[in-house]
Amino acid sequence: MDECKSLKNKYDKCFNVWFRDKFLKGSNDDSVCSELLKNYTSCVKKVMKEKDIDIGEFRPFSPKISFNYEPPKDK
Amino acid sequence: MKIWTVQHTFNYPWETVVQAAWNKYPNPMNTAVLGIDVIDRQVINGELHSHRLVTTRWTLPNWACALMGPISTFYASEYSKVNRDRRQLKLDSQNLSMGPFVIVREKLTYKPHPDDPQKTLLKQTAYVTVEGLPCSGYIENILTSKISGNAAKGRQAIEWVIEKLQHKQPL
Repeated sequence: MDECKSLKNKYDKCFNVWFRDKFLKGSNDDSVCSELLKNYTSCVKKVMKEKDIDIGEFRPFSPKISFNYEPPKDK
Repeated sequence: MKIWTVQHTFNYPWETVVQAAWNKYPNPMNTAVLGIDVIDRQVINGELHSHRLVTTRWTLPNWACALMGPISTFYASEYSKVNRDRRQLKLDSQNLSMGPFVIVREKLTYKPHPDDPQKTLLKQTAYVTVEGLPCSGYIENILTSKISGNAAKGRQAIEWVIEKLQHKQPL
């Protein structure tokens, strides 16, 4: 979202380097970008609230879809 | 409900494809996706979990305008997990707008190709459900063909990002 663009760019830059040089090489320590992530996601959540975007009930990776039909099985 | 599925092989190792996947948007191939924003992200038991908000803009056909109004910005909620030991990225997303009549759920898995670990296999499945509307089946078909077209653009976008990364252009 445009409102958070500069915070996103700063965070993405940090994340890309961390992901490539740290995470993929076995490190779990994500503290190097945590401040930037916090600033960025606070902005995103604020805008979501203003725009009334509700992330709802969606349950990731769960076999249940929130409607009343049987979900398909993964092949 | 309509189920659509496709597999695609990237001629790049998993690590390269996954880095490109994070930087897929915006791209010139798929202009319907305005952007993706992180809502939450953390490392849990060595896996990277992300929750992101996808913002898309569609030109709606007339029938859809009649049903959903002239709103053209839609949102989706996307969860993902990266398991670096198994070299696997899984994404699972569902639309937030257009409810309760329309549910579009998409699952993607990126993992090394079983025959060649230097290549990456993408498996993508979409589940489209339209309920409580006249011509539900017809609408499901239209949405499914839109998803199929967008998926092709998405794969091109990944290749495009990889080219950029390899030429060390800033993202």
